[in-house]
Amino acid sequence: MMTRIFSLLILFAILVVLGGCTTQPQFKGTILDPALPAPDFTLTDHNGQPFTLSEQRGKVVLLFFGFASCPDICPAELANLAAVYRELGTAANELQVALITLDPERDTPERLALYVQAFNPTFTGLYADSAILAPILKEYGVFAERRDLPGSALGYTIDHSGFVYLIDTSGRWRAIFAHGTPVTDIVSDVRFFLRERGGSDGG
Amino acid sequence: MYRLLAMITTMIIILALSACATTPTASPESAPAVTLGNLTISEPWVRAASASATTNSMSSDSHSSMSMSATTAGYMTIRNSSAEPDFLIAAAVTDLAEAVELHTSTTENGVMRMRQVERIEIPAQGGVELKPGGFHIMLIGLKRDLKPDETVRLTLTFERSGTVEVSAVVRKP
Repeated sequence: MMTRIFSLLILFAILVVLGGCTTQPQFKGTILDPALPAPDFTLTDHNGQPFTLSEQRGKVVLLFFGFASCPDICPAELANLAAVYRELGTAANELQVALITLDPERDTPERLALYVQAFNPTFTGLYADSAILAPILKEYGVFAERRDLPGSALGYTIDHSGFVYLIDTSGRWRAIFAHGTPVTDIVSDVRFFLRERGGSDGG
Repeated sequence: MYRLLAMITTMIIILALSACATTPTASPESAPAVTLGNLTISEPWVRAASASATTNSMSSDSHSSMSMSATTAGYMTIRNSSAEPDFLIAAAVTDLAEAVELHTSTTENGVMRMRQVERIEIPAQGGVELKPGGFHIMLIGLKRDLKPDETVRLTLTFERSGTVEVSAVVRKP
């Protein structure tokens, strides 16, 4: 009798754990439900070419707002996104990571190119002047405020919100990740949104 | 029998859970800890970065050269075995950056802020970790690229313990 109960327990333990590994989308990021069409924009990439968000359909896009003179937190986030890219393996071909600079005054295309490509050669740095940038920041709810640093050789810094925005393969804004979200959590959600595009195999 | 089955169940769960988990990446080699009086400085590292290709093109115009400058940050753990606190008050490099400053980053309500600080406290009988998202040594206006695996010399000055030089490993960004 006791043996049978334990056999059942073992079986149950196996099922629970295997289930945790594979099926059931358990989202790690904050999910936007219902999904909204991602506010579209056309910015200039670090090669001087136009980059239109809605033309990235077919790929999952991870958007991050930052600036190249941010040597501490922004690189930590971009390093995480580079790790996400590595973890995804071949599926990363359908991932586009883009950094939108909040500091167009200092972040020239050359500088953005050096900055983002140090993390991953496929990452794109995007810039636009403040007038074009302002409505985009508003639509994505990005907080950014220039702050003078008297006495620092840096001159000024930009206080900013540090979320990563996930746009799905159909151009819909689906999820937000807080700064410092573990790499495995982002990978898990990106994988889901890439699979979802396949349609039939929901998991 | 009872105990054996319980153990098997536990083992299966542990095995299965470890199969789910990702393997941690090995941390790069770091230089041995350096001591200075009651202070121990361990695992100093600097984030790799590219100096801007056009840094020197307008050297006569200080604003332009500043606005083009590339930055990076240095990190380490400092322990203090003394009964008195000490303070990191300055850091310096030779021929590597135009300025070296002490900064801190904070994240509050999702907003990331970076501020210059005058000094970083190393508490008595305690320690402080300079790490991404917190205290860091900021190198402003890089004069050359910093490539992974090279080492750079950092000179640290403490209020009580004085000055020491450490070798920091350059790591991938």
